[in-house]
Amino acid sequence: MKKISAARIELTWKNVIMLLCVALIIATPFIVRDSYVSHIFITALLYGTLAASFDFGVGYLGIVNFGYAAFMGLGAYTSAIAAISFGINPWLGLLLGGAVAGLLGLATGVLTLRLYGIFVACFTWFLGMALMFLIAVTPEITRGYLGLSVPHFPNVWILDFTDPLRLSYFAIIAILSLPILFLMLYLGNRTRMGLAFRALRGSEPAAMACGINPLKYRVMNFVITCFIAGTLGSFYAHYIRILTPSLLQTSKTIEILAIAYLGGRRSLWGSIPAAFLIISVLEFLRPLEAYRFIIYGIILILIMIFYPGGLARLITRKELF
Amino acid sequence: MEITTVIELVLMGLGRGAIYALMALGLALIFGILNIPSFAQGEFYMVGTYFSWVGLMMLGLGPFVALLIAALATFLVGICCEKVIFTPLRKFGREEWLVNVFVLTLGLSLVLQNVALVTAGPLYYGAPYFWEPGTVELFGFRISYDRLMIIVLANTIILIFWAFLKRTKLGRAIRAVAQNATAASLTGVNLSRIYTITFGIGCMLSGIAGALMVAILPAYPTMGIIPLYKGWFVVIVAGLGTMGACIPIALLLGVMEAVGLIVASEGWQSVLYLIIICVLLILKPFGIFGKGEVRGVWEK
Repeated sequence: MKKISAARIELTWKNVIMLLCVALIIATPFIVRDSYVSHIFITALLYGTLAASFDFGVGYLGIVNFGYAAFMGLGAYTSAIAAISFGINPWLGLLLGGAVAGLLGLATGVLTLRLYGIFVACFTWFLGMALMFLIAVTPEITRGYLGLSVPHFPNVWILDFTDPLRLSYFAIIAILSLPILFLMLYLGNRTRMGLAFRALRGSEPAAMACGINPLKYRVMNFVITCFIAGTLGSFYAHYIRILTPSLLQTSKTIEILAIAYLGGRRSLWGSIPAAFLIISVLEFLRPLEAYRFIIYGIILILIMIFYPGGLARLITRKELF
Repeated sequence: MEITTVIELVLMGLGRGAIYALMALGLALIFGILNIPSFAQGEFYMVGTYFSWVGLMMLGLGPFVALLIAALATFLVGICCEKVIFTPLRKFGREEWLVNVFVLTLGLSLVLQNVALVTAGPLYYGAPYFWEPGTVELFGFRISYDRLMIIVLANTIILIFWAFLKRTKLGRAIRAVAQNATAASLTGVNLSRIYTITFGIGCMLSGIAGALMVAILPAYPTMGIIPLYKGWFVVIVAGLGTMGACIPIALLLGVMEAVGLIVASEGWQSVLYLIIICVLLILKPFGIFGKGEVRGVWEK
């Protein structure tokens, strides 16, 4: 087995440019100080990170969690209801949302991940639909389609969450998403777990012959992605502050999936520029109303036909693994 | 509860079930022959409903003509989509075909939905009735012509489709391609033509389902997701690669749903679905009639 080296960052031009880009993304909302700009940046980071963790499942092990938005919504509702009914601090809710989504992910994973491909996609989709309907028909707890209004995060130190500029929210999502991205890249590239993922991707029978239990690693991967979805979902709940069951619907999963694929399969980081590109372009084209989604769909189709590598392949030709 | 209510519900369920069967057959056909897990099928259902409305309400034609218009329109839209989108993809590269194709159908569904939104606006287009109003006495209980004709027409179309697949030359060619595409092309079957026609037929089946339901569910751009969900549910429960099994499962599901309305609302029934799925996953993970050979979309 290949010796796994410790994480280190080499100081090449490419890395310097990448770091500058990260710095630029983080600095822009604080420089521009406009609530609209911060909203776009928050949404882009949120969806970019979600898409990256979706990619963590699809790219490494080919697990398509087609109910991904439902896991995110479950985290959102968990944290919101915990805060409203039991007075649990939303900061704790971030963990709680992640934990509940992760637990459901564990149960789902153990049941479904013996299967492959379309079966996993369909079963997770059915689960997501069931969750959405369940939330819609229990208005006494979730208020259904009336919408559940959620408290914001309590103010800490210099972070003021009542500020209309929403800079504190941006700070939180940046603090959340950078470690999440780094963790996934680290897990995927520098640990034995990641090695097992890549071995399974390469050839499952060969990996099994080396003593890798596919179900175990598939479930691990699934639980990690669900946990991330839950955590980000509970952030979303306290940011948007109104939840309806439509958060769990399939079109949300499709949005995340589209960002992940436009960003480039198996790249993880590609999702972030893709999210910024897509969300800002869609905002820019807002006057076109429904036409912009036609354009979006056509672009998606064209890219999948002519350039299936996505955005990441434009920047680097190197496969991540 | 009176027995007539139950029978009425069962009849209603048969109608629903036949619609699900049409959806499921379209999905299974397209997946079986073109290897495309189509998530744009709900949009073809929507297109069918719109054209059925055009035939019935805008042009004031009879239900048969409206159905024909809807079927032809979805067939043509399907053929165009296949020629414009999937044929080039087949040429450009087959690596990771299934992943690409899955995302493509999502893009296609986005385009179709929003084209409908642009042309028709966010309005509901419903017809008061599909068949002429009135009820018929059948074995001592009443059923409206409307519902009866949905059941009759949907089942007739399924039979016609089955006969087409089993008895005609084209149907035999399609089945041959399903079994082994290379061998079929060696015996002189024009593969790309079969692919296009099959996709068109699959779309037409969904379109017919939508057209029949125009009096019950009005046309709306995002209406396709629920029939798509039910269609895939039937396909997965029945087992991929077993098209015949889709029909009884769909009818059973429809009846179960309709009778289930007595005890639980539509939303709570989704929990029932979940239970079915869990039981299925433990006992028969590849579907009731599935053989476990189809590993599906993201296999290597």
